[in-house]
Amino acid sequence: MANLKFTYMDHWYVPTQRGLAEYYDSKSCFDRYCKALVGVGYQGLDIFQGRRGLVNLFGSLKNAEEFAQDRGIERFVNTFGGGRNAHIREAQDAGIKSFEAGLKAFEGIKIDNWVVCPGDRYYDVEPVTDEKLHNIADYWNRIGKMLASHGINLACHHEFFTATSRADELEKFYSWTDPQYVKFCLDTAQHTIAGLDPVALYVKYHDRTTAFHMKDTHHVDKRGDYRIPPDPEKGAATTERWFWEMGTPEGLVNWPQLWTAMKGCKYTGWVGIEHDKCEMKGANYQDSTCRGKWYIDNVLSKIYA
Amino acid sequence: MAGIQYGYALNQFKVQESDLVQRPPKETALKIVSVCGFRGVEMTSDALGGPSQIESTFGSVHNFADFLHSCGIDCVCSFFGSSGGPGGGFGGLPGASGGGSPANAQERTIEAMRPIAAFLHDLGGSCLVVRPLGSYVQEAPVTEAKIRNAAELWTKVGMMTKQYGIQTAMHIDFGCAIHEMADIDKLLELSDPNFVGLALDTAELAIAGIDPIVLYEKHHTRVKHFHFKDALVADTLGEYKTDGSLLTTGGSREIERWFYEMGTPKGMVNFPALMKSINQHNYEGWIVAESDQSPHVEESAMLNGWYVKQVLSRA
Repeated sequence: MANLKFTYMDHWYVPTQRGLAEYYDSKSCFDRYCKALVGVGYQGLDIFQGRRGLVNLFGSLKNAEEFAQDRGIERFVNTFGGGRNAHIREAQDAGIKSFEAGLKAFEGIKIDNWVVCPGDRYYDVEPVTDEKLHNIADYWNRIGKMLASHGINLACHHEFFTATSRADELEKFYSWTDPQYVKFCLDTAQHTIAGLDPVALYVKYHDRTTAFHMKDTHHVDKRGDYRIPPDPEKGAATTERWFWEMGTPEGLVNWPQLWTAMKGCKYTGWVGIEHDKCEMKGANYQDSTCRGKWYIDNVLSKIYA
Repeated sequence: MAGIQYGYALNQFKVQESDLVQRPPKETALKIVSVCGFRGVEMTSDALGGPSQIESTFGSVHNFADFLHSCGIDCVCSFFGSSGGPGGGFGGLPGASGGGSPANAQERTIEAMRPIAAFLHDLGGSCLVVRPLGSYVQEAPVTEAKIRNAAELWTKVGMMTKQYGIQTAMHIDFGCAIHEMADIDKLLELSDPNFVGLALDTAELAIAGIDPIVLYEKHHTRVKHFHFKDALVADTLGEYKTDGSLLTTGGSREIERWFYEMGTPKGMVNFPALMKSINQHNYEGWIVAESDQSPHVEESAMLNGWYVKQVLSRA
């Protein structure tokens, strides 16, 4: 029995006669998406919360999940998305109602984690004061408690260009949130770009880690790109492509060390693998997905599997 | 070899002139094949190159084997070549039909293939795949004498490759002069089953109007190798007789893509039924998946990997 199972975090384009298509543009595209991932050994799918395209295609996420299961996917594992203006206390009630409404889409299926980015883009929140961080922590405590009542973990991941991404902000955020309701999603590349060590973070928060977005990067943000509008992930003048699949020679994440830490912490369960914006510079999702999974199967699995 | 093993044809990754030239794209292609669940690769001279090119690129066959293993590939299961028509194939060697060839043509062909047999042996391979005759356009009229010459040549080649533990298998494609079931029957009848067999290519046969299951049931004892791919349309107009480049021109219907991944909707090949037949006849050997003409080879490999795991392995 394997200790780790792999779920694929929602980014993909399907090559079609009409050019690249989203995987949820048609049943044929979703069919190929599922088969391609099962073909290299993925067992789960993480889906963006806003994937209305799947609901439109199949009538419900439950039906979409059954379609995926017919092709060898075990189940939908996590969802990602939702939540803005957490630092503005007056906006929080509306945000909670929005989450409650969003839950309806998942009726009939089991989701382990609802992954969110707890803070807005940095330039929208600056200055990131303790008062705003308290607001953010309180908000996610409330959301986490509500989700827990539905059997879903709230897992926070911290994109490098958002409030709560800095070391001191992370420290305060996890000090001011309830470990029972606010869990940690380790996004390896995002932390690395922000100048943090993802392995150290995992070791520190392993008892709160319920989700992973495993991806690599070749660059640390040393010039403050995280503060620049509108979207440093896509438009930073210093870095054309931030994210890379696992196993590239230039990658900064120490994967063997992380796998060793996961083994040491006795982590078992789903591991989310993400290939975010890897279509840049002539690459493609299929190529990145194959090479990343090859690295897991042939290198990391010898450490922990 | 025990049971069925799955390989992948590496030439599918050679789309542009620059593909598979440098070491990184070679490594990527092999890792993709590996992670999709295939343990061996089939080579051609067109893709990675033949024995001499491999030796000059990697220093030795042994180094190349190490490179394959480092990428998660066990072996080169097979090598694909073509006899070509008069003056074509295997570096311009005379064709197999014998028409207009020098007297020592057969010996030259046999000796040209000896290093490939040795190469395959050193890399853990099992099969040399050959085109028994050139294209129909080159060879017509296809006479019994030409088929006899081809059968004789490939029997001799098979005798040579057997010294290296390598099976020679003749591969019928839809442009080949050997095209009708009767001609295949004749070719097999005139060749020695101890030394030469058949490489059954599902899509090529389907396009040629031959049901691969019918052919396999008829000649299963001679089938020593498989190429698995699908096709959506057959050459119903018989244009192989007039268009020697039908594979790429698409003929009068301008078919842009003849070949598809296993499991493609509306595919003509009934793979589950074929696998059932293969299992009933206790086939032991390689099944090589192909994705010729795919505009996206990475996805094709993934889809073929899915089909092997989810459909063929359960048939």
